[in-house]
Amino acid sequence: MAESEIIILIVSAIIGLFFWGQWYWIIHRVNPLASGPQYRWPLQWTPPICIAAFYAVVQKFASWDVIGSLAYTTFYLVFAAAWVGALRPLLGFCGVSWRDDVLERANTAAVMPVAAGLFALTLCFTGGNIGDGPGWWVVFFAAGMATVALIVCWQILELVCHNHEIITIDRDVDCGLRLAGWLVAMGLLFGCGAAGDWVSVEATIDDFVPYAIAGFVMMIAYMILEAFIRPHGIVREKGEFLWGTLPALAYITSALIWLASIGWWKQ
Amino acid sequence: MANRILFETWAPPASLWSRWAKPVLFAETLHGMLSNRSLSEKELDAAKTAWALPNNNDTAIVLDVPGETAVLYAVALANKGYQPVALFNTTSGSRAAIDVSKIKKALTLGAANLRGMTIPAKAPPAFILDSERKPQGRSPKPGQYDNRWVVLPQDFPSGRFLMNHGIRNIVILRVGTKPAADDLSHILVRWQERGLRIRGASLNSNAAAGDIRVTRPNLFRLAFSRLLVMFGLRRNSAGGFGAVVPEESSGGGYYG
Repeated sequence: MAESEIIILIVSAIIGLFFWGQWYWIIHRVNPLASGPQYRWPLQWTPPICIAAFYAVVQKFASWDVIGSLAYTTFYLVFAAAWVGALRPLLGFCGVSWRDDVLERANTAAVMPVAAGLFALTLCFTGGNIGDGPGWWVVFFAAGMATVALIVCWQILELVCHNHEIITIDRDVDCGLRLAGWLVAMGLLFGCGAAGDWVSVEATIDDFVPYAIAGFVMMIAYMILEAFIRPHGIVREKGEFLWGTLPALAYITSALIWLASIGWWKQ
Repeated sequence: MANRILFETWAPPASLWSRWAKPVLFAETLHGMLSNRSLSEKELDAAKTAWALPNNNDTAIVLDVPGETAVLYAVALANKGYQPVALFNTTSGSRAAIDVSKIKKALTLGAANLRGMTIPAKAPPAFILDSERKPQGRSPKPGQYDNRWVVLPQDFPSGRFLMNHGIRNIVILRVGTKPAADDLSHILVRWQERGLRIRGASLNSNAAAGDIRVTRPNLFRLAFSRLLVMFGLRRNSAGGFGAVVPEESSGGGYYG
């Protein structure tokens, strides 16, 4: 490994340990009177699931010098943990908080968006790792582009739809499920947009454009659908398949079908 | 175990509103937690609640007065069929910015009164706050325990939820006639815009509650407004607010 890679590894390890150490410490510390194990388990298990998904993809589709290399696989695993950990507070800026809503207020509706938000960040970073490239800065650029697109779309969505109000104040489980499905779909689109062999910055941006357009269409579709299916005067705290799970699956399925139809990512 | 019993006395699992009750202060050791000493009739009579009548199950009450007084009023209102909902989201420590010992004492005494009452599961809520939760112009110094706190829209049921459960009016009890605190106004405006009638009553007055109009605060409904409202306050790792101000720092303590 090059000197710069060792420095990045050490910095990533420190960042990852800080953010995930804080994550698990708070989960352990928050008084059990505030929220039961059903709220803590999803938070405890989401990071390992994200890392496992990242590992599975990297082992199959990463650069030729990463696949099968213990050193580079470890390097990118630590990099991924730091990436998702350091960007995790962005979920709070988008209106849903793992600590305030899930742990301290036992809000069932917030559990899925938090888990899906972390998974979407993981998908964006995973996409940046797919394909051959000269080094970690290529991953940083491609994954950064995907992550910025995700957060910008989420912020626009919040300005228009105010999902955070419905999820964190109304505690509408169906809205939480719909947002979770949309986040995973956007993570898939932008992650695949960031994937592919590295040629240049311009080529990476050019390749990303169709995926960004697809993400934009998905965002508009969410806004339109939300206007029709959002309850007026009804609080659905239990969750119903028709209004929560089904739209969530529809977003993810639409993204998968579109990606399959264009060949997942550009080589 | 005693903490849980005390908390569930104030937030019975069967009550519709208990999910909003804050357990933070109950998680601390409270002196004489399960004693039979209660608030006296004389103390409860001093709490003038004529403004809260009649209880038609369509009015929710927000007690935004000094904490121990709010607890006293909550017990008096429980006698009239309201379900107290304690929202104290703070902790205690040595050299604390806010002295919560009187609130803790009132909660233990009030619990004895509540144990002797039968409050219907669908009783309307009386939310208990401490108007001294974030004193203006008093920033804790290094070494002090900063337990100032705020309320967020997430700490209360939504206007839609209240309406769906028959609540049409909100009465806010406050000191004098001063306008609602900035953090509370974020909640009251949401309720107002949902169609709930907001009325204000004054502490130590039996005068009927009058209509009030709450104006929209800055950053209303923005996704990150909650982070800004909490900026400069210190979180407690066990939940709620409260931590020692570091000697070499005066910065904020929020991390999401």
